[in-house]
Amino acid sequence: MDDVEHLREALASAKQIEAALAQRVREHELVLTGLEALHDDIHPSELLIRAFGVLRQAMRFDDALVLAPDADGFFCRASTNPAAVNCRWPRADFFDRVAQGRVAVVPDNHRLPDWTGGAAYSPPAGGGVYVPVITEDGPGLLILVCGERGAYAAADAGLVSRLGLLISQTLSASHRLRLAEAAHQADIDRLAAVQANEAKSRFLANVSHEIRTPLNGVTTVAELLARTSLDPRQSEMTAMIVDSGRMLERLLNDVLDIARIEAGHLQVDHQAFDLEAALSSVLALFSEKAQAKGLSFRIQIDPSAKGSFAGDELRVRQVVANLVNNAVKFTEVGEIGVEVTAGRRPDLIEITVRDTGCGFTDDAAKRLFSRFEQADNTITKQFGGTGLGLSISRALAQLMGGDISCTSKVGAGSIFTFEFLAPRATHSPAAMIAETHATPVRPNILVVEDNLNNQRIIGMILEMIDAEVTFAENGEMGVQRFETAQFDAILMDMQMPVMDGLTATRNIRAREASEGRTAVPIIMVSANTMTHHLNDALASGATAHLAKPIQPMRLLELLGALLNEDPVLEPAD
Amino acid sequence: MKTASAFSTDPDDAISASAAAEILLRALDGLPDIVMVYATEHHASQAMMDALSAALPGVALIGGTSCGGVMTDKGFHSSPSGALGLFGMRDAAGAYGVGFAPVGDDAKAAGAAAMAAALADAGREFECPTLVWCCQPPGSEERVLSGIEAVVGERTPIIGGSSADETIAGDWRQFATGRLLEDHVVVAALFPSARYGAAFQSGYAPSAHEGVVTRARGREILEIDHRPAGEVYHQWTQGVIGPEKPGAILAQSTPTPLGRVVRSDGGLEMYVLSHPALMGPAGELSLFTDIAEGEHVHMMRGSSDSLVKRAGLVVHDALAMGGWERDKTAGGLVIYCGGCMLHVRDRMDEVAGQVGEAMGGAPFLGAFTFGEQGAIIDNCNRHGNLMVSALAFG
Repeated sequence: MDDVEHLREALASAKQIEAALAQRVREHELVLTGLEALHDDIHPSELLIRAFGVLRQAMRFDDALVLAPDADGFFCRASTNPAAVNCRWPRADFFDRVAQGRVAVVPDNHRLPDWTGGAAYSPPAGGGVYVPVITEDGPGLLILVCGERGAYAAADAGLVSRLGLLISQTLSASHRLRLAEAAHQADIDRLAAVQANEAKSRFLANVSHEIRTPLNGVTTVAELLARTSLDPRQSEMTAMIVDSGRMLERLLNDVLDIARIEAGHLQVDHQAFDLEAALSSVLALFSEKAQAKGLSFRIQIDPSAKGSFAGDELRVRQVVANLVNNAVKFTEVGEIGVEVTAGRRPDLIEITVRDTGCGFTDDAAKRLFSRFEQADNTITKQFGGTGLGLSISRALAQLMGGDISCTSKVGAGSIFTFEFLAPRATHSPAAMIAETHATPVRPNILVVEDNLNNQRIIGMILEMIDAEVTFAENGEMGVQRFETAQFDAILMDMQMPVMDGLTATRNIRAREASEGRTAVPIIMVSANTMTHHLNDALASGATAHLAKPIQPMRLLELLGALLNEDPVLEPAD
Repeated sequence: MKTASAFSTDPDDAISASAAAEILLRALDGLPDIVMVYATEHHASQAMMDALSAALPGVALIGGTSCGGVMTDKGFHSSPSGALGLFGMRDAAGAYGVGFAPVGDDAKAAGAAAMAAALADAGREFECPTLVWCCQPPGSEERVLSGIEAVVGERTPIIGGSSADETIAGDWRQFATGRLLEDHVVVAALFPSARYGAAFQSGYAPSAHEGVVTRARGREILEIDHRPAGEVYHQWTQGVIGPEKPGAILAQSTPTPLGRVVRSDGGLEMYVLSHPALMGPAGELSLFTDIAEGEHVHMMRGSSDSLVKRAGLVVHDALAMGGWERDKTAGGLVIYCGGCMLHVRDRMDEVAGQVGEAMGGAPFLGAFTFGEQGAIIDNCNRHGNLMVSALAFG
């Protein structure tokens, strides 16, 4: 009898244990099935449908919901019941505790106060399993609800928790997919933005050219007019026209620079230049202005900063001009000081501009280098300016491997320090001296220019040196004129119909070379003023580049230098 | 989770309680979150409860009286002045609460009220606990279980035992946090952070004798197969127990209880037992469980050897159900039928030893009850007699 009892007991135990093991194996299989069914490359919406399908194999339920957190509580991120999707419930204790990691089984969902709150969806009166999941928006819940009271036991929560991990992985995979899609879209948007920006740059370049041409007419003619016999009132009005034109030109340059910076097209040169010489013309100009305001103007160039450096002379002058212009503009009493040193660190040049002006606060200093920012809004009204200058200057300084910093005290003045990298030049800019010519008594000058107004303006300027002027309307005609006559110099427009100035210059240089003729000075006079335009001009064989609007005296000085023995640096502006 | 057991046989109720609590605190190195308390009727006094409350302030307490003594991992503990045993669980990551309610005329309502109070005490009033531990007086256990299930559902395991006394004189009591109770349901909601395993079995096998209950009244079988129940039982026991000797038959009937099939799995039936307690003069057979007309009853047979070994085997099954290695067992509780204990009393050290071995040396507390509750594999909660109900944590 005992043997029978023992056998029965053993069998009974084995049966129970077998059933428990079978349940565990089934749970493992369900989780594995879930892992196999859910791939990253499946679309997010399909992933969740599959995940709910895996849940359905594991547990009976009426509705499955995934709640994700939002600012005020939880919203239904996904559900087998469409009526529940996007429903919202205000933050409450039970949902919060589950989301934070506590698994819970409830005999009756309707007893949970968390479900109240006015959402359109309400779970059936019956049992529910609530497990934490990680959603794209943070800790959330996976909820299975059933219309049968007490349908679930705590033992079920273990399996649902493990399936909750699958849901978390599913949401994570869908999140990754959405991120990838967003990244792809961002690439498309970025490309479109780049293309739009390039189109904008092209547009600005064209507009710049088209604006410079009439501007040339206004300012150059006004300057020429100012040199004629005028009564004081006429002189004053002419000076106003010239000032307005120059202001418009500076504004145009600033806007173009900003466009280049935004497009990433702004480049700096690395040509040999004499730092002291480059600065002296700029500083001389502002020294005059400062003295006119009753300010003392002190320049101190350390011996370390004398001589040739490799860099972008034009841009260095632009930055220094901006800083010194500001110093003069904002200082009413006291002095302006400019100190130049080199070599504090390898290849580093430091230009410090001090003033005793109105100064600015620390808060203003933080915004000073932002575009369209000035220390305060009243500055624009009181002193004018676009607020672009410092922003452009800093961008230029950074392109040159340096920066601009400032310190200031309201009412006591400011100190701006412009640093940039410029190694010592291995050769002197004097080596690039243009050929010199004997000064003709009445220079014979070929002007290749398609715009009739510009022809007349240049003609009026050249009248001042009593030049004999021949006009050609395009590059092709210019080459023809060159072939049939001897000229002391050629003024060549860059952008013309039929044949542009670059091609014409190359043709002229080619003929000179083939015929063994001495190279005639060619000044590229153009409204195309970007760095690459200047480089293109010099590469085509032009002796110098002069930007429109033409400053009459600058043109005459340049002609004088080219036709005499004075050395001339290639870029004239 | 950390568990510990303690016992005392000091005749003074308060001293006994304090001494055991002190051992428990030392072993747990701090206050437990819940303590199961089982003591013989000798110690069941308010003084004992006060001493426990003083030693274990704020700790949830649940338990009841145990027949003849208690057993722990240190052995079987009994003395002429009784014994007291404690099982403490320290589990900061879990949640525990105790509730109680008078049985009165509505045991189901009492079960439901006690359960709701226990959940509230655990701070989880809307939830299903992992397990329910219960203690109630003998007599209406099925309705108590039904009341508990009305709150937490039928799939939450309910484990426990009915309080017992020494002479079936009704001197059984229930213990709840700080309270000595009479005729109360006491329920604990357990949300342990550790895994658990539970098993509920008897040590009996069916004999060839079986029949259908054709007349019944509450817990009395009046007729089996249309014949007086006493007469049938007399025949089945081959004249050992019959209506010619009416009165208490609890001790004599222990080797031959009645069993009902509650589950059949591949031809192997699972039985829940009913212990015949009284033989009426008209042959009516009173049980410690409810019985209904139409139920199929089998006369079961058990030997002393099987009763001795049974507790250890049920614990073994509980661990297997939990699914961890024996040496990972944190501790456990065993409810062992008081009638069985009386039948093999002189071998109770063996029983305790086998339970201890099955527990892998982990702390445990065993109580001897007049009715056992547990869940079998289908997760249906059952009340039975002559059963062993084991719960282990790992």
